[in-house]
Amino acid sequence: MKPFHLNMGYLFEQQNESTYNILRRCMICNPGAPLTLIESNLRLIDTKSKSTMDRLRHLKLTPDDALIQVKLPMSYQRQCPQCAKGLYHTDIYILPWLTHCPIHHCELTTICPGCNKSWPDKNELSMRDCNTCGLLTFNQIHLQVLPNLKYTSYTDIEKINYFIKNNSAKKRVVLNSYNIVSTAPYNDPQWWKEVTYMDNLYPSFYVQNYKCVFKDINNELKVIIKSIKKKFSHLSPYEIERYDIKDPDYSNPLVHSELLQTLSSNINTQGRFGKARYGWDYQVMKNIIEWIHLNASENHRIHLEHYHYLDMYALRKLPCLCPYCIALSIWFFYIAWRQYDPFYCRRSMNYEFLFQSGYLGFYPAGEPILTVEKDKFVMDKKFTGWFYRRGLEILFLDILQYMFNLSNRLEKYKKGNRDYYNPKNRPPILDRYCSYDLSNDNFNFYYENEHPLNEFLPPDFQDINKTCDIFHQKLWSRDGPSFDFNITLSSSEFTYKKFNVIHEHFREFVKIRY
Amino acid sequence: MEQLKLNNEYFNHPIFHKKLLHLNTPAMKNLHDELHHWLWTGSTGGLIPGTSRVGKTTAILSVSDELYTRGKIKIPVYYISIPDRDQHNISSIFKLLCFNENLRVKSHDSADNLSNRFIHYIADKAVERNCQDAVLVVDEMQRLRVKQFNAFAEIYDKLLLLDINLTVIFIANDPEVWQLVELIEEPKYAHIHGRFFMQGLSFKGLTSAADVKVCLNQYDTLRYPKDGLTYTEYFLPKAIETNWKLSSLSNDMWRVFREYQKQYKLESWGMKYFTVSVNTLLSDMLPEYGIDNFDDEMMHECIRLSKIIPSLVRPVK
Repeated sequence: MKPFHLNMGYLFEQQNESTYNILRRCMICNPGAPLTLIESNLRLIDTKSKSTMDRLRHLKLTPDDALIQVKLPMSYQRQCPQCAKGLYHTDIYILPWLTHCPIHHCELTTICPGCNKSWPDKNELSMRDCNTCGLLTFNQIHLQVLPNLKYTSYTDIEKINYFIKNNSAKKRVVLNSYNIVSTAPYNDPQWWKEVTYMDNLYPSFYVQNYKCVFKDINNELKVIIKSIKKKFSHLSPYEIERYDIKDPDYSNPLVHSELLQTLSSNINTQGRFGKARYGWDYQVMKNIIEWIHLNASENHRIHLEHYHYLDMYALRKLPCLCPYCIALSIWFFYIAWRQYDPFYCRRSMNYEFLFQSGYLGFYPAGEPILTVEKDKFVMDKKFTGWFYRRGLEILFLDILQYMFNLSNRLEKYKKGNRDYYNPKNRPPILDRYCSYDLSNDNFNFYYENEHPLNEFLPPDFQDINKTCDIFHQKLWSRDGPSFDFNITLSSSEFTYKKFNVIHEHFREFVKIRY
Repeated sequence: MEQLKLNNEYFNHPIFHKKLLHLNTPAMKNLHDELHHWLWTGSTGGLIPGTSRVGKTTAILSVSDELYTRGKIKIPVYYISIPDRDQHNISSIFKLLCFNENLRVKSHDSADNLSNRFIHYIADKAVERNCQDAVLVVDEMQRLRVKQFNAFAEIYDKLLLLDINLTVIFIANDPEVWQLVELIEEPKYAHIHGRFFMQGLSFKGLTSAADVKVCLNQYDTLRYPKDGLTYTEYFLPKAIETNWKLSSLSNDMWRVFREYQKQYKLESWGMKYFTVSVNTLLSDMLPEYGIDNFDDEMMHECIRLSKIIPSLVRPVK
């Protein structure tokens, strides 16, 4: 195919416009040319760029460097109706903390008020004949677009773009977990996720950090600023010899005997806070059990088992499953293994049914470590404990969400609906989102909710007691009860003594099994 | 010279190639000035009639590279030549316009789409060149039907809404065009007449010995290659020694042409016939018979060879 000339609608080019807008004006100025043809023609014109959007960007007459490096392909989903009528859209409209249009000061919407449909994506554009969101006719351009073109002020948009560009480029500090950055083969994502301006969850973190920038424009833009909590810690240098735990060689019989020796003692004191961690584990487990009793049912009896013998075949045959019991069991095994052998804890996640059902790893809990350029720092005990406990809560929620999801999938499967599960579509845990920075040698950690557990609303599970009982009865009648590790917690009261007993059972279980 | 002929290099000379031979005529200068007058006074268009083979197209294409706004910004010029087709509709004009500018054209494209595509194309170019003016040259206008002028009126109107001033210049053959012009002068086509036919410039070839001299002077000054011999010196090396100029023949040439002009009522000496006559004289006759042997008979032969007589359209009275 010989490339033809493509009109770009330079007359309507505006500052900081999104690639979506460039495409929209390109389609308007080449009436009758389908998108596929425009795309194939662009490929012929610009062979170097990799995508239609990149090619369109390069064809811009006056390139602005606002958000060029930032790809927001779904930004069209949120628009200002006034701007859309005037053939304008900019990527920053998708930023969730921006609720009002910086130009017209009207609310940004996800629905086009002209046709009451969602804003069209690039494929839907040519199918809309709406004078707000569709491909405008010549008359609409002349009446709607041109009169306002010269008088539109982009100052605030420019200001926000400038601020985003300058702040997003800064790589300030890197937070990590020191047990996890060691030689162990850990690739799981961390339980926390730093909020950037693009995150659509808890956007207030970002704004909170840069309040001063928004100070003068905030009133008109009505930027959402929620209250943010802050924890801080003094930093101490990271001592490799003292804090790093070497990944043991499990093929070495000496290592194996060392593990057994560790198991014979009550608490492992390896690592920086080995002893304290045991207490933190107890605190979180106590909270979780209370939470389960509160959310599931007061009479629900929690069965802690090792569930390693479960596979998807068995689960499909069983009438139901108890997400709470399985989640807490998996969680406990994780923390218990971590107590005695941090490197084995991930291998302990070797559940047949997890791998068969598309499990890609849970968010591991760990103690924080901070990297500032080449230097590494650790936090004080108070912060480390809080951080670790928060990680444990999120780990439990992650496992629990997975079990709820698995339970749903099994239900659907039994009804003949065999959907493919994409592990990447795991539901988000909102309290993972956070922000952090350094000020006066202090590490500041910003977050919204103190207890992720309390903010989590579990899906309705009708008559969980009955479901849980049926699940375990059927399970035991099929495989026999798991005698080597089978503990029932019947009340919400969870004492330190009970925790010790469970650990004792665990140690016995490991000694027998391994 | 013989060696050059053997190598075929001799025949690369511009006078053997119609497109390479570029002579600035007084008529061209006149056209250049008149067009600027139109553009600078905000004229929406005009008609440039001229007899066949007089050099209208060459002149307008030459001048179109040199059109500027008052602010010395180069004005983009779009050119179409109207072909004679079975169907004469508005859509075909838009198709032609789009096709000429390499815009997408499909048989099922509606006239609306084609028109808007071309309008946006001109608008894009206006922004690219930072010029709010545009010129559309419509050659062979006599082949248009009256209703097809509405296409140009639409483009003009729509561009005006985008703040772009379009000047449409129609080039047409005299006398075929007058029948069409008379039609346009009817009241029902006032919107077309008012837009595009309020002014005009009759384009003529060479009309005097002075005009001939201006053209011949260029044979004495233009060089091939650029730093080589003049056109005259290239074909008449002896002219270098005697400092002979081709322009010295201007009066003789004009006198011979006048005979034909009177006999056949020719308005002017069309550039096509003039260049063929002069090129034959310069490249064949004079080298063959010598400068000193130039006479009226030689010139008669050159003019006859230019086929000026068979091309006449009007009967001799």
